[in-house]
Amino acid sequence: MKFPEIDLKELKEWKKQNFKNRLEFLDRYAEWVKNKNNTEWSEQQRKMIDRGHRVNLKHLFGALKYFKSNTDKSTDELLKEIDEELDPKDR
Amino acid sequence: MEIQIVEGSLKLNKTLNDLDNFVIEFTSLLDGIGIAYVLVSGYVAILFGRNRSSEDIDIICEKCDFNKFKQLWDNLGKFECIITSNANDAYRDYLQSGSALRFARKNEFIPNMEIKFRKTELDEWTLQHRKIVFLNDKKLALSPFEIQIPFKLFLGSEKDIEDARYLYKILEKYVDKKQMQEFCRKLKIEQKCKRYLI
Repeated sequence: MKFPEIDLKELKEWKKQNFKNRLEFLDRYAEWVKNKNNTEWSEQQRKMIDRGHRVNLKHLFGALKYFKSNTDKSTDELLKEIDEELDPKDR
Repeated sequence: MEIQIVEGSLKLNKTLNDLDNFVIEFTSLLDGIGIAYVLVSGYVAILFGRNRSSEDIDIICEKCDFNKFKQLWDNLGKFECIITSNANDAYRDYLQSGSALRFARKNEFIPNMEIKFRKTELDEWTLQHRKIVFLNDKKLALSPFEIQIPFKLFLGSEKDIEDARYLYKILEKYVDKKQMQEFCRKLKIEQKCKRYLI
């Protein structure tokens, strides 16, 4: 495999520009929040934050569904089994 | 954004997200037991609308004796400690030795509340001057904006700088600028302050 040439100077410049763009966006977003009523901005924020949480739960339920279709065990038994398989620090 | 000032405290009503609910539920446990705390993390920016999530919420607590800590431990309800299942270890090996404990909802890992006892003089000041915010009438104690904003700049990652800048843009009129400048001076970040905030 041939790796591409990497111009670190160019990448540093890109990183700087990227951060600058994000700060500009942040300023626009802060202005938007300041000028909206609380229900409007916080409802959008809730959707964004809770969506992340729902994705995690979806993965969990998807895995459970898969396991359940291949066994007669109850959900509690499956969860216990998964727990026992996990490294203690990950439980 | 509508924020009211009532007797020195801020009042904010918003649609609560999962992180807000998590923080309200856990801090009401601390309040119920009488453990003084202050929220110091990026959550302060999230509370005021910053559009990002966080895996952990940092809290500095007043030092308490083991009996009081055990009261918290025995009343965790829907929460559990994800670092150790032993209250003695949690208190002695973690809190008392300056390390953080983490609590999450049972069977969940994130988000989690990262708790530390106050350690430095700055922690003590932050606790003493905590800013009370009533979020949908639930009381939360926040790090004063005058130190929260400079401290984020001091930490210095892109995310921290964004948090600082966002908080300043949103809360500028509630910030004691003289006090904030003094913290910038003490943290030796006056240049960053000029560059990113003013």
